[in-house]
Amino acid sequence: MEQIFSLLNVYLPIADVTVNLLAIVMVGIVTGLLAGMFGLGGGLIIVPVLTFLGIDYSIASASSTNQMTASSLSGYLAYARRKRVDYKLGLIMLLGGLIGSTMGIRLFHYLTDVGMLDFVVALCFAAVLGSIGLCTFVDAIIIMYCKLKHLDKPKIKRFNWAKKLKMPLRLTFSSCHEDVSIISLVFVGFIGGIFVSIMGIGGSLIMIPMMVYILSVSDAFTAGTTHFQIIFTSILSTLLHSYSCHHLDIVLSSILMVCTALGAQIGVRLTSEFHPDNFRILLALLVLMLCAKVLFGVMATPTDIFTLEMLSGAK
Amino acid sequence: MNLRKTIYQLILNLLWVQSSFANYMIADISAHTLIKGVDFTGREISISGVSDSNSNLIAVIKGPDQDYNVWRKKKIGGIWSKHNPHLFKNIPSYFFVTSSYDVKKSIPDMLAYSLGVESHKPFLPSIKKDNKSFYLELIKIKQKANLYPASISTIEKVGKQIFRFKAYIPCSASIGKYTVDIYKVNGNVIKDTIQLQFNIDNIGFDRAITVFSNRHPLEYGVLAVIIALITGSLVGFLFRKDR
Repeated sequence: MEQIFSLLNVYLPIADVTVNLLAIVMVGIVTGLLAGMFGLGGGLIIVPVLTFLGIDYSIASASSTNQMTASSLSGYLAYARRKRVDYKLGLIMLLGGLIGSTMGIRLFHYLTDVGMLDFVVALCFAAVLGSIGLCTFVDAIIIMYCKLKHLDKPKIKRFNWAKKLKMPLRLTFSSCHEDVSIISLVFVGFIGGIFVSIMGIGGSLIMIPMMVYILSVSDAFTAGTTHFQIIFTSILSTLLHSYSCHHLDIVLSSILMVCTALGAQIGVRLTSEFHPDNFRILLALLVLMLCAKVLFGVMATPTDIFTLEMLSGAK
Repeated sequence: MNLRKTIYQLILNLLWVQSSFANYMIADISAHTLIKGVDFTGREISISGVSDSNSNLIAVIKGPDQDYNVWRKKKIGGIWSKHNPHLFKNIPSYFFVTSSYDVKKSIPDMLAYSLGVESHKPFLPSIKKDNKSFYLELIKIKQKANLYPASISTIEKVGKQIFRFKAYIPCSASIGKYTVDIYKVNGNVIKDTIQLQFNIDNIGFDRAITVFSNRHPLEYGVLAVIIALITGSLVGFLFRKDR
């Protein structure tokens, strides 16, 4: 059995590690499945799990970014066919996204130089996973309660904070309920771009709530417009990762992108069979467990107080 | 028959000529290239050779030099983070030392120290006092990874002249050129040295990817993006609902 398992080993030339192909395939399919069923971003699961498998964080992040290009493109195509993409909105957000991903790469380099990359990213992951896990958990409890009591789901309250701040350069968009300032759009794109470059996640989990709650974008257009923007920010981030840090593992990202794509399609088909709301609590627990594992990594006393970092320039 | 006789005669003559010289040493290595790929889980290499019987031997294997930062972790607000890096330049990524018998008793301390015989670690000529503890930690981490083997067998003598020893190269060993220096020590001085070399490399597809990503990083990134765009388009096309 062990011999059969070792036959499935694959050597990742850039990561310089041998990993089990089955493990990578499983990571890809499960991540895709969750993305298809719940719209959960791929990188958020892929990056921490790959680091648990022994792949260096910087390699996991860069390879996840490239995988995101494929998943965003396939997602964008599906939404574009249904005319659920606001290109005007997307292009303005893209401006912020491109600035964000370029600055994110600079920040990535700076954090690597000062040895804080793992620490900052772990905290960011813990914060994002923790807040998403808690929100999903609360959401799942409300849904379960409403089902038991035969009540309608509570509606989302929109605040439109950007309008309250009276920001200038306002434009009208077909997908928005009210006029939106270009500055707030660029800001939302910028935050997404930063997340793509530093954490290797698409940032849709951050951008979609911001679009809904802050910019008052119609629910129907949020996912399609975000996918449209992420295609370009992830392409830029992939190129910058490859050019400036040589962290992109093409073998790893190719395996991941095929598996997540397949997993996402299985996930989409499963939603028609089983309603995702019934599994929302399981998703919340999974995300919270991942958050706990990431937090444990930075809070538990390490086995070695000293760590060795090989400087890539000397290779 | 005559040819075989001639060859035997030549070998005998060669051995006689060799033994008549006081100073000689020849050696070779079992593998000149180790392929680092999916099945590379570490490998033992053996070095054997012939030397005159009066001398002691010291062998040092060094991996390609690399720069390292050693970080100390500190707990701040319940969270461990890295601080205070110490940079060490041109440190062998792999270091192995062995000797024909307890050489450190017969050679001067300085020579033993400079070759790393006593400490099983490479000699750093200039190391600041506050860097020393970090350097020792670097050695410890390397020893844990089996890259600076601390407990090793000695150089085995077969008969009077033939010697051999083995070294284990772990799977975490870096890709690059490795040198094997064999020193013949007589009394307090190094009488003779020979250097052998072997490489750890990857081949085929793995090598092509490594070389391509290092030499043409932008084109490599573009290729990765093209693969992603093709995959994304294919998935979008194959799984579209109106097909």
